[in-house]
Amino acid sequence: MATLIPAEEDSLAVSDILVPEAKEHADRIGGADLVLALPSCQTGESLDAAVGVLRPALPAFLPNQRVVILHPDTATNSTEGNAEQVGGEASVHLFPYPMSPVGRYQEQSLYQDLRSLLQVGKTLGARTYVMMGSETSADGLRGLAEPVLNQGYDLAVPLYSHRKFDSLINSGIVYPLTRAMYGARLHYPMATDLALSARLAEQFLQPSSASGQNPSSWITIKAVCAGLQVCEVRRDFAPAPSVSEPTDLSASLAEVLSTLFAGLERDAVFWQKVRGSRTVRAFGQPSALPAETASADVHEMIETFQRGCKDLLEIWAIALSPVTLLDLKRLAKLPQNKFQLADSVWVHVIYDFILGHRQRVISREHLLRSMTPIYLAWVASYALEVQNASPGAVENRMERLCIAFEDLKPYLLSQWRWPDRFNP
Amino acid sequence: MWNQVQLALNESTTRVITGFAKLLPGLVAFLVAILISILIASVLGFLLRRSLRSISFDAKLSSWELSGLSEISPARSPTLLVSRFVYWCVILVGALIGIAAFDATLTEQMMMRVFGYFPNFLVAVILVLLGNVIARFLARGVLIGAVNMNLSYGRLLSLGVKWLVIVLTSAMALEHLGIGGKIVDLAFAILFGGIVLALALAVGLGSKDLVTRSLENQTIQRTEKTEEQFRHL
Repeated sequence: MATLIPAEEDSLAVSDILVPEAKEHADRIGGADLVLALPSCQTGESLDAAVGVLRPALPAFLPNQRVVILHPDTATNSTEGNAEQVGGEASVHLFPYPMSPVGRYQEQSLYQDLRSLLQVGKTLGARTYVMMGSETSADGLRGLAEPVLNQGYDLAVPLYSHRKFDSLINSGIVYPLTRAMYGARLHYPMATDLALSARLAEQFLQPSSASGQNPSSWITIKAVCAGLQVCEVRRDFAPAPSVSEPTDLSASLAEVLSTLFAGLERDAVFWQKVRGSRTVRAFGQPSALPAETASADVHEMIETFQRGCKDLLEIWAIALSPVTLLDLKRLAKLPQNKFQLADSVWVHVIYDFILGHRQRVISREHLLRSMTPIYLAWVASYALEVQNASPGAVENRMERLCIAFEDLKPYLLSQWRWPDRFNP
Repeated sequence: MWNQVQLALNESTTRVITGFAKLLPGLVAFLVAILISILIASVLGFLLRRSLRSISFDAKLSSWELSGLSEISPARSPTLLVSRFVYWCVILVGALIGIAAFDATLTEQMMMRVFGYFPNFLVAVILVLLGNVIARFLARGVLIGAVNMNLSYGRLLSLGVKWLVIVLTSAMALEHLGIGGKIVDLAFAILFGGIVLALALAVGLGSKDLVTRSLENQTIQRTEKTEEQFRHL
């Protein structure tokens, strides 16, 4: 069960963190039932559009509720600062606050915006917190907030239907790894659209969680580790990120893996006890996925991997076991039509990098960046395998990968506990 | 005549024997000092080696980005390097003590010179070690970045960065040691000036378009092409 600090213990500290203007604003509003953050609304126009979309849906969805919309202070709205009665049933207040737009997997900005949301929400005494980092639809808000508001869940995250070549870092590493480690089948652990309860907010704002300004883990993982109620809400395709994706894949991959691996180090006591995984309740109907048969152009990826195998072998050898290294060498020699990275090899690569990261065998930044060519090899292998597969077959393929991660977890466990044990 | 020759011979023999007799205790003292220092050095080296191995000194150095040290170490083990360094330092001190048994002023002069030079030597050693660490760190970063960008000359770039830093820090160390004097400065001015000039000429006169095209082809276009089909994030 979750161990929670009573609200009165640190509520003063949280409200004190707010800048004076924000505190005054919060005092004027008085209180709120639901606080919604829209960090992607950086301009007045985008804020107007978002409020225009959300406002009509609120009376039916949140009757007699006080809603505060937290938006970046760079966006100015014509009705800003005014309490608006919408249909006499729900009041909506706009609350400008320093926020930065959240790109998918931009850990730092997501973490800061989430903290802003929770701090303001806690000052206002909110019961439900919603962050919409990429999606600003009334359906999305209703879908996410509903389980938290009415069904007692502590966290609701979207379960997007994704195309076979979308969110590949999530599909190939983040989801299977978090599933195997934490035992919960949460498909998007790094969701930027989410709804959470006051109980989880309390947990997140605990002094131990707030130590340092860097995110040490995602809120989804914190909720699972705390034994809180988590659910997924089925949505259509993942919306395009509000912030354009960085072109440096290596930096993005290193950023994601850094947070993920640091979280594993912090939660080692928890995940070492976890065996297998359990499904998480999903609300909504799954969308029908269109069949995609575009052939994948993976030539450049394979070339990068082969170059990595030639030039980065010494660095990989520091982290990888000799057998895995040998498997990668063999893979580099294969022609494109036979290019296939076995799940077991891929899982060993990930686990060895986790161990290398933990033991700081070399600079962590270098270690994680050096993984890019191997990740590209996995993408190429996966793309070649599923390029003509049906959505169902793709799902089965991903399930096999997840099972491989779970099956090989004892390897990670033994190397984690006894790093000096012989590892052929 | 013969008596005088005999006298001279006797006197010289006496002088030599007396000199040797005077030298003998010093010689014995020198040998004893060397033997004792060897004994102390061996014990100290052994203990140091054992304690460093017990704390996994080599592995710790690798994790602190000091893996470069292992390459200049005997059997690639910094533990051996440190223990041998201590071993020879003790023997050196023993030798100095032994020499003092012959002539105290000679040792004093030597000690003055050695200790006067020691700070420079220490700074030079630190510079070389630091340069080695920085060079390897930068070289590795450049190599990883180049491979991730699929550049074919990544290893060359990395090697260039590594040696540039090593040569630079070695020159700084030599200057601290007072070796080479102005020749080192001059060589560096020529080398760096030459490199910068060559780069400026290459980019400015003939290769600007070539470099631009090469980088575009190898990074931007490829990224765009793959980004169209694959979304990693």
